[in-house]
Amino acid sequence: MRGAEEFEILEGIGQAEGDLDIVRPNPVLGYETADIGGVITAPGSTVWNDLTSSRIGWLPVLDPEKCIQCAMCDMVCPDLCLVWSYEGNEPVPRSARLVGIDYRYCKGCLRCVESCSAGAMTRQEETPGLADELRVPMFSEV
Amino acid sequence: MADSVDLLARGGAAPDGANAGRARQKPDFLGGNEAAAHAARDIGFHVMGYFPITPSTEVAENLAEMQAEGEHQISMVPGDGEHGAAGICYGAALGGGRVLNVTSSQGLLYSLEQLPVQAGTRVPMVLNVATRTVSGPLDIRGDHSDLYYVLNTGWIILLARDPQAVYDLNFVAVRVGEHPEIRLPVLVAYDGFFTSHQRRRLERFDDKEAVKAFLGEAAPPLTALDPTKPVTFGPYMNDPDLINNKMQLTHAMAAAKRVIPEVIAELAELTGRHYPILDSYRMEDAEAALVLINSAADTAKEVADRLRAQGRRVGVVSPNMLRPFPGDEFRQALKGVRAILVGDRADSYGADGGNLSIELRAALQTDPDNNTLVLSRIYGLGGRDFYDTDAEEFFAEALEAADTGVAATPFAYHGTHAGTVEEIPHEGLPAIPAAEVSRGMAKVTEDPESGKLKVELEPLWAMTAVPCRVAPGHGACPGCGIFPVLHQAYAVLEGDLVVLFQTGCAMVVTTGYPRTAHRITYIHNLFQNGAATLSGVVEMYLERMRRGELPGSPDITFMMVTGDGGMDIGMGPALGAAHRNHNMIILEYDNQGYMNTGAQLSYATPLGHRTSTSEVGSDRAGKVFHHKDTAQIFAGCHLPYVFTASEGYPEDFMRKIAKAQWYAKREGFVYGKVLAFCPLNWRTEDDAAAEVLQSAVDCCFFPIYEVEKGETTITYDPDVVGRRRPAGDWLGLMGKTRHILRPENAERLEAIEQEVERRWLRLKAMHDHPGL
Repeated sequence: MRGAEEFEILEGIGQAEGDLDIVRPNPVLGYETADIGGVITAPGSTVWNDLTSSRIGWLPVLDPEKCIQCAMCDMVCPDLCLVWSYEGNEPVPRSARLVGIDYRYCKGCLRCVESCSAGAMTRQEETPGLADELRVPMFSEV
Repeated sequence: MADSVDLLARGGAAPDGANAGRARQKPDFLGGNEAAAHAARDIGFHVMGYFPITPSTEVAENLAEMQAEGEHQISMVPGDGEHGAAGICYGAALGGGRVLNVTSSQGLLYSLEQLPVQAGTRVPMVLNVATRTVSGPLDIRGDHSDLYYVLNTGWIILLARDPQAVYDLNFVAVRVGEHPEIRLPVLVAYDGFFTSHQRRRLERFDDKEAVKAFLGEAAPPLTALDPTKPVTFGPYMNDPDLINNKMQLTHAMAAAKRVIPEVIAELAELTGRHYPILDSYRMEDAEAALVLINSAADTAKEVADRLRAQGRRVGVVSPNMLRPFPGDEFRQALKGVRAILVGDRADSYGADGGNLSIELRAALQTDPDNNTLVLSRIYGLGGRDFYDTDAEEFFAEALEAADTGVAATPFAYHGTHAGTVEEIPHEGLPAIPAAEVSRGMAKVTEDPESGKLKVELEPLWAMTAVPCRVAPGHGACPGCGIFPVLHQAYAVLEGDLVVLFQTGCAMVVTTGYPRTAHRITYIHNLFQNGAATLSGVVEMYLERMRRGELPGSPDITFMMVTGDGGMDIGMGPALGAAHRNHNMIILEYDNQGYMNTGAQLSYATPLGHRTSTSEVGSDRAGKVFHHKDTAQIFAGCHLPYVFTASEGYPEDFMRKIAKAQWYAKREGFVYGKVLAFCPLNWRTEDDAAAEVLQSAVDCCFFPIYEVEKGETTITYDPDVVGRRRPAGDWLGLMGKTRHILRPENAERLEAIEQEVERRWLRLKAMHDHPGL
């Protein structure tokens, strides 16, 4: 590549013992297995994504005791990750209760905390394992 | 590695200390886009018409930064789309000065119609293209499928393999295009991302006098701006005249073949850098060679060096010019070469070879003594990398043909993947039954007296039970306001829904292949023609329903979701759909810029706001014209229903969405514009949404109202509730606007306040008088 005579190449820089080989992975689908036209026939399949690494050290945490079920947090949550349970769910539920957060999808924007007038959602430092401990899964398939 | 002769043949920067040119230069470390921007600044174009598109947008961004600091005086005009940008450039070029445009991919195709006009009417300008795959499906990475569309337009095409060449060839482009025997527009093509974004050491002029002497003055023989010499540009010309116009164009191309090397040689005297028309690398005595365009050729050269070291006689040929096509140079360079492999980073589907290999086969055929075997390979589509291992495989194939004298596989794709059944991912979530999203969360009734609609909402907690038609796991930025908009809308929209998203953040972050966040049928077509596309879907729905062809007679609502940027480039088709009164909703999430491509200004960006193409510096203070009033434009279409809303007022928005569905199903077209938070590009904290949105509404910058059957009702009046505050309160909350509050920008703040107040008073008058 051009540049080889413009820069000094130092042996071994960027490489260390035990480094794995460079991997150039293939895509999941190929021309024999992908639907033609690039269509995706698996609706909502992003739920298999894990967005945990988007957070930068903070988590919203729900205190169910303080929650007044106003649902403002649900209206402003960009990550659609608040989990509810209902009583009498047809067609309009008799009551609803915010159960928790599916941290698999939460990017930690804390808009739910901002929107919470009851002080039920609070910003907490994300210590190792905290999200797994508090997570309420939204989809049983995942 | 390579000997000095070869080094020179490669073009690009000379070795250290070998600044052989006469002009003063200084070293820099730039990517291709930055190099194009620096060249533009140093050339001092009069006008740049442009429209943002990845990966070329950086050029305009860099020039906007330089402009903000007073480093150049190029008049930068953001088009309403690339078609408009190309028109701006054409008009500016008719005016006689120097003109620049930069684009990629869809932008080039959307401009395409302008290109043959520009060449045929002999109006020079310079167009930089950071090459990128053409949709669809949409792919933002680099290949040459856009570039190949330009081959038949009459433009001169120069190829820049690295940032240094991008810089240098822009100067060549100006001189060549303006040459009296040529008078043609010139395109400089470099590889999107590979060259546009990867920085390399280069040298650029530090010598204004030398640049001035090299370029001279633009001396158009005729311009649209000399009233003493009236000219008719663009006549109506049928047979038998047009073919003669094209003969003249062909003569100009022939002249370009002679002039381009002369101009390059003249530039080389200043810079010490030479660009042969055909870059022949280690081709002396070569028996097999690769022919590649742009960055891949550099990779192949390294592999050629390795193979040469092993005693294999191989080389690499790469043109620095594609139009005019260097046929003579190819015939000369390939004389005696037993086999070549031509790599095309774009296919001419069904032609058994990309354009380069087809043209090369044709060029060699005119040499009766040439017996070179030609292998055509399609590689690197959609930005797929071209590694040294790929070059090794190519050389192996070319050498095999050279050794055996047989081109066993004349045409093939390289680097594809078949996939296996075991790898097919999960099926996704089940479809949402219509009953589950039809729960009467918003009850709409028609007031028999006024004929207007009333909406009664269930409490918000009840609405959370409606399954959201967009799933979590999407890739939007933290705090993104688009998803609250969608979530709130979906909570009250009943029944089956088909959505079309125009190009933008919401589209990109929800459909990264092979996964989708959409749980309902979703369509994406082009940036600008979503409304036309959805009109077609609506009409087919109605016609197939009429014919009884749709099982179960689904009751479908159609909604297009677009950003404010989509309503710049897509305004024409959207107005068309509105005027035809199709049964559909357009829902605009207004985050005040082209956020998907890195926060360039849109026409919805307010005055003074900082974006990456309306920068803030010693010479500039953000955007120079006011925000577009899209809702009023659509109100002027006399539609059943138009509304504005803020994601910060869910109940108000949801009432309007319920009305929108009612009207879209029964009466026709609905337009809704919703203010949507964008913390990344508004430069706020992720959790500052409520305050910022509230301020935008309370200062009346973003009035919340509806126009129902032609009558305007303000649905939130800050004056009435005693929350009115100055625009400065809102502008002080965002990093993109804080500069407006500085004393030196007092006039700008005043201008914003005045415009906001003027529009607000007009709206209040309409609110007070149903006849307005």
